Amino acid sequence: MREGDAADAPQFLERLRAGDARAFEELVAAHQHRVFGVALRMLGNAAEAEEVAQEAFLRAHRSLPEFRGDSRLSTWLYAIVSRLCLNRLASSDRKAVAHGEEILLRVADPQGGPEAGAERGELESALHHAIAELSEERRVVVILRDLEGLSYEEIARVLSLELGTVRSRLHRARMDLKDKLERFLP
Amino acid sequence: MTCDETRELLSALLDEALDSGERARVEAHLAGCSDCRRELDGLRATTALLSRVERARAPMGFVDRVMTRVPPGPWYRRLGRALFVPLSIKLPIEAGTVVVVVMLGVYLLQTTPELRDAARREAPPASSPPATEELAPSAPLPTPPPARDREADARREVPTRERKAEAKPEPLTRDREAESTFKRQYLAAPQPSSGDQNQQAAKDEAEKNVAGPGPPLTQEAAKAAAAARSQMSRATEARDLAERADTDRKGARSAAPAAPSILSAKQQAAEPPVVSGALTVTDRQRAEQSLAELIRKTGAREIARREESGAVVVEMAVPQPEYAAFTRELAALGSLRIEGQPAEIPPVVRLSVRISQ
Repeated sequence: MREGDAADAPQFLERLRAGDARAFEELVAAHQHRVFGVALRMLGNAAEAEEVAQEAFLRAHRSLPEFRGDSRLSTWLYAIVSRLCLNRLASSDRKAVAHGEEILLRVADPQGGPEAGAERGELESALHHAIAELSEERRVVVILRDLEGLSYEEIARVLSLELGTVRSRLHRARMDLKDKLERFLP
Repeated sequence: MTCDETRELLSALLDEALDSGERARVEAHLAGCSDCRRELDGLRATTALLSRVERARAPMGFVDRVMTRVPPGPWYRRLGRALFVPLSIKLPIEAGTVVVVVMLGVYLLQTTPELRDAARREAPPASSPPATEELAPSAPLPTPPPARDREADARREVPTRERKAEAKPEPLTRDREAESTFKRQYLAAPQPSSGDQNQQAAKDEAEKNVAGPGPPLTQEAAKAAAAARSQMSRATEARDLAERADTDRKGARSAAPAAPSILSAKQQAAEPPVVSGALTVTDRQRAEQSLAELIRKTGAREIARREESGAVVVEMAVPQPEYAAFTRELAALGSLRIEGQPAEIPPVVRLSVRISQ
């Protein structure tokens, strides 16, 4: 069971739908790292990632009365933040300033430091760069699968894709990463 | 299954996302294709690397920042929450408040200044201020008790006063307190002057004695009152009290027809004879006339007179300044024998003289 799944109890959902602010605060606290993590991997910028993550929760708050509970709350939130990230990445403004993604490493590596081994630092740097260099549609799939641990079916639901499409995009993404990280492979 | 078809499914094979048929075909191809097995190992190593990526954590204060941006709910929902939700809390609080208010009210009622004053008046005064001060018109007087209670009070007080009359001398405070209580209880509410108050007190006392159960009680009451007055007369304010007693008598006489005889009896017993004398004369009638004139001349007062066998006993009150002259002239009427001559002559000497031939 992943983080926040315990919050899917029917009573909790009722409180959320009734507009219970305390319940919504609990929801944000339980899912903040997932939502922010997806935004950060997708956007590569912590400030932008927080902005998008906040917006994702605000949209969730607005949509809570219509949340039917067909999927888990976490899946629902992934869907919202993923869509927001893809929309932002698709916008012309974002494209103009994109292709940096250099901040990704520092933000996403809290344990990086002088004492960390040079090899480990190099590997993680290579990993983040490799992920950042994936296309958006492949990146989001590999993030949801290999970093967030969603099943194929869940990814298909989050991204509103066919299951075969998910499988294909994930395979392409992994093959890209394999090529980029070849020097770290045995 | 070709190598391309097999490699398309290798990720799904690693994730166990293939159905049984696909999985069997892929595994059959891999068993005979070393290139595809190498490709599979490469993918497995890549996903193993990805699993080493640290999970990102939202920055500190993220939740608070989100919550500050969350708009408040619709007005009707907020209104409903404000009105309805706290009701389960409000009701016990309101009930508790009512209880506290009631208790506070009872407490305040018990500690009302009027009640506190009443309690203070009923308690024995620590010092001995004049009784008239306690009857200051500004102080609210308690309502006089019903007549039945008044009588009960009188009966209750009589034995106490008798005891005091027998056991002399005693501190004045209790008697003064008794008189003070007596006046408070029997006087009508605010009186214009102390004279009128005393008049009313005397009237009440007279009525009480007349309406009493019988002569014994009347006499006892009179004695008790007399004892109280006697002790009061020894106090520093003796003169004031004596004047008030005079006022009492005058007031009582004008107020009630029965009062004079009652007061007379009271006066007789007011100060028991302390000096007794036996006067033997040749002419008793003449001697009595001379005594009457002597009484008048010296300002003394005849209190009682009773006939005995062949003699008359006259009780008198003689003012102290005239006492020596009184006895001297009395001795001139016949053969006088004085008994119980006090070492220190009181302001008023009670003298009982038995005149016989």
